[in-house]
Amino acid sequence: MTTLAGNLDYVATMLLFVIGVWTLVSDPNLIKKVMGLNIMETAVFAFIVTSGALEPPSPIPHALVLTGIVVAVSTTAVALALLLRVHREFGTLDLDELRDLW
Amino acid sequence: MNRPLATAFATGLAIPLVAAMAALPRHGSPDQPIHTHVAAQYHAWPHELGNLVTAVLLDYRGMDTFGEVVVIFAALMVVLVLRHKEEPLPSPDPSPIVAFIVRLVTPFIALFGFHVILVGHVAPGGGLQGAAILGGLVLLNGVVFGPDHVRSLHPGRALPWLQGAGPLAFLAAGVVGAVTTGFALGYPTHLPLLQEAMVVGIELGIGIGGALIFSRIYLAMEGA
Repeated sequence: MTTLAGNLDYVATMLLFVIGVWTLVSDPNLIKKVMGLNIMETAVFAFIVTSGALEPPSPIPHALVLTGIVVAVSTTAVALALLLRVHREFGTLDLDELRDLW
Repeated sequence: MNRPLATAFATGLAIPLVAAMAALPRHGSPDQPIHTHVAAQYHAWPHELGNLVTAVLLDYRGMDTFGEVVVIFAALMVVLVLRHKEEPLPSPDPSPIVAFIVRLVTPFIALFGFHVILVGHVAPGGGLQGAAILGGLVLLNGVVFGPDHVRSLHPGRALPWLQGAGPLAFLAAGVVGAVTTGFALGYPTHLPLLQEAMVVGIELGIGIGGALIFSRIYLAMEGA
């Protein structure tokens, strides 16, 4: 079991992930939730990429996150299109108001 | 949920995560789990495609890249299904400084985007990065000058085929690979010119198809 000081990069990416989770659950605005999802995805990409920092740096984690970035962009596009329809149908993007309208 | 509950939940989530980070092997040591399973094999195999990242993306994990290209295409399909006819937005009136700068840098951004697509198999870049640059260029012009300005950029009747150029390029490369070698996405090492053409063809297909998909998502989302 190594110390936290040696794995400071991993701890930082996990803190970013927790910030993303907090953004996802704390605000009732739907766009804020999409932003929280993006922060979580960015934290996971940073974690995978920084684990390739060996003595000759390994480029294989870079190839792994390339696909992940594209999937993140696609899901953000679909989520924002859904939010556009929700706003046009119900006039609001607040989750508490939408729950009362439903 | 309300703020104190969310903060308590986030703090309760952070403790086991950070503790797990302390239990991982030290940052920079080669016995991390990501390097001990498949990555050692990828380093050991002779990658004939020249670049290790290209070999992982298009050869060893070629089917995953194929799936990712299909994911972009599926996102476009969903956005087009969710489209809704609405009255057009008022046409924007850009200031002369903004209009001049955008018109000045557009050719250079387009040139750089195509360069990133074509050089992507030996240098940082590739089909998707170039597609993001070209799609962003179309978005820039659409936001500044109005979407009618960029709608004429889309090729009219060939548009559905060009939007599917990513998956179609992969299918074509798979067929060519199956014909020359025995495997579905195999790259023939005894025909280096054909192998190079397959790789560049895949990158070009992903680049052009992805750029058209990104710009079409923008045009579909602003209501027309």
